[in-house]
Amino acid sequence: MKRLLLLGLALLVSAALNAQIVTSSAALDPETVITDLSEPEGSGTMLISVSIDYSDGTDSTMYFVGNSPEAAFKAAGVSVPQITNMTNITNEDYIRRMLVHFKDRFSKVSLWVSVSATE
Amino acid sequence: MRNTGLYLLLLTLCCACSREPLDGEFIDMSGYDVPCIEAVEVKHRVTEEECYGIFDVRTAEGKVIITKEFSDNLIHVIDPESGAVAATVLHLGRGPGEAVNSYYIGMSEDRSRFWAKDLALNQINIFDTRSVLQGSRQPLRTVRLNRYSGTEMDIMPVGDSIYTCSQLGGTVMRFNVYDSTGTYIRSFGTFPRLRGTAGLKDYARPSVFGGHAVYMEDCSRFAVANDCISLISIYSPEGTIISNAWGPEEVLPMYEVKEGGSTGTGGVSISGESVGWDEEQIPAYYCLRSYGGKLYALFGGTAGKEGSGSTVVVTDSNGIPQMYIRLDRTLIRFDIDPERGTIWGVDSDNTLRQYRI
Repeated sequence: MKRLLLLGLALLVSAALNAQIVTSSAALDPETVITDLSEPEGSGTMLISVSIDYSDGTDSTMYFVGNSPEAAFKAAGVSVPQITNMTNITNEDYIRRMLVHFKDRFSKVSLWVSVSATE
Repeated sequence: MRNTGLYLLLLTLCCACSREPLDGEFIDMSGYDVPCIEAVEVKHRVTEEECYGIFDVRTAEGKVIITKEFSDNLIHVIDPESGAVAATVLHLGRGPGEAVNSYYIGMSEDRSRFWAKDLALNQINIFDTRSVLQGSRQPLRTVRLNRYSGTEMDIMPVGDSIYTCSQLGGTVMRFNVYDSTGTYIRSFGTFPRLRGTAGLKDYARPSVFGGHAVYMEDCSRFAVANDCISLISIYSPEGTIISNAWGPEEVLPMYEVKEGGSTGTGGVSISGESVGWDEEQIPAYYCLRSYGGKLYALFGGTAGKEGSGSTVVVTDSNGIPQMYIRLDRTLIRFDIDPERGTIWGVDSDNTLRQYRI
């Protein structure tokens, strides 16, 4: 039942986070593999990160650019029931700093969809 | 002299025992003998996968409208007869007809329009139900509010104005009103005179009285059902309280006001989280709807805490109870179509449920 009581709070905190996130950002390493799912290439408006926690205690994060989170889930091999959290971040300064090494390749990105999943 | 002392002690104890939850007159629901009916759960064809990430549910034109995450589109319209998705709107994004998030769905009483607020972009997307069912994916209107006034989850377009009710801090009044372009006009409306809240800090009031607001079109009134207190307040358009309805079960938990009205975790700061509730908190009202001059309020109470059910409290436009509809599951969001005798709800496991009444 704890889940029930926490739902409303989680919803509001999630909403507040989306609206008012204030944090420092770190640029993605220039060697980071970002798969471009957009058509034509470079037209995607979303950076979609999919972080997967594996049952053996390891984890990995995959990055995609596109216009469809569902396409990114599919490309990452994640089905919807595996998703535990999804946060959409709109702070453009944060996103620009994060993609500083990719600004020419992904100039249209204005939304970061951060997804957590378990396997 | 000893008898007088004993008398005074008894009087004090009696006064303490009969202490009322609110100053002034209020409607005590427990004093009304109203019919209670059991709603019966019926199966539907909407798939479990379609409901992953579901937040809210409404019903219109025989269809089910849900907001959900983990999808390219934040609002799905589903045909419950076949389980097929009849339409989708609000593609994830920041362009026209797109949204970054959408949680609660507001709806006009004739169900011809529905809307959802994007809390990240602070804008409201209003849709025409029939146009959406005919394939339109664009909102009838998108209104961007020009300021944040707390966490405004419940949106009430009324005439040329847009009224909101904050769930967390950011404003010290009950309602905010914006013009048709989203320009903030003013905040208004008092908070109920609840026991123990006379000296409450202004910034904490929206959190203590956080709840769910509707506009009652038939009588031009606002109503707010509280999340954590078993209280429904009915307001005039000017923001004065017309009546307070208490019940059907007493829920008045302990809470603690946090200094400054904000908290921080790591590098993230969240403003407005100004009240900490008792861990043993019992849920009061989860959701409020208004149709045809009646309020339909989803109440949890002790059953809600135990996960053993919830009650739809039906009241008139003054908050006087008319009927209780018992549900054998604890729903956290719902909608009712009294004419079709249908209730759709989202339970605590985020599963879509259908009931017949």
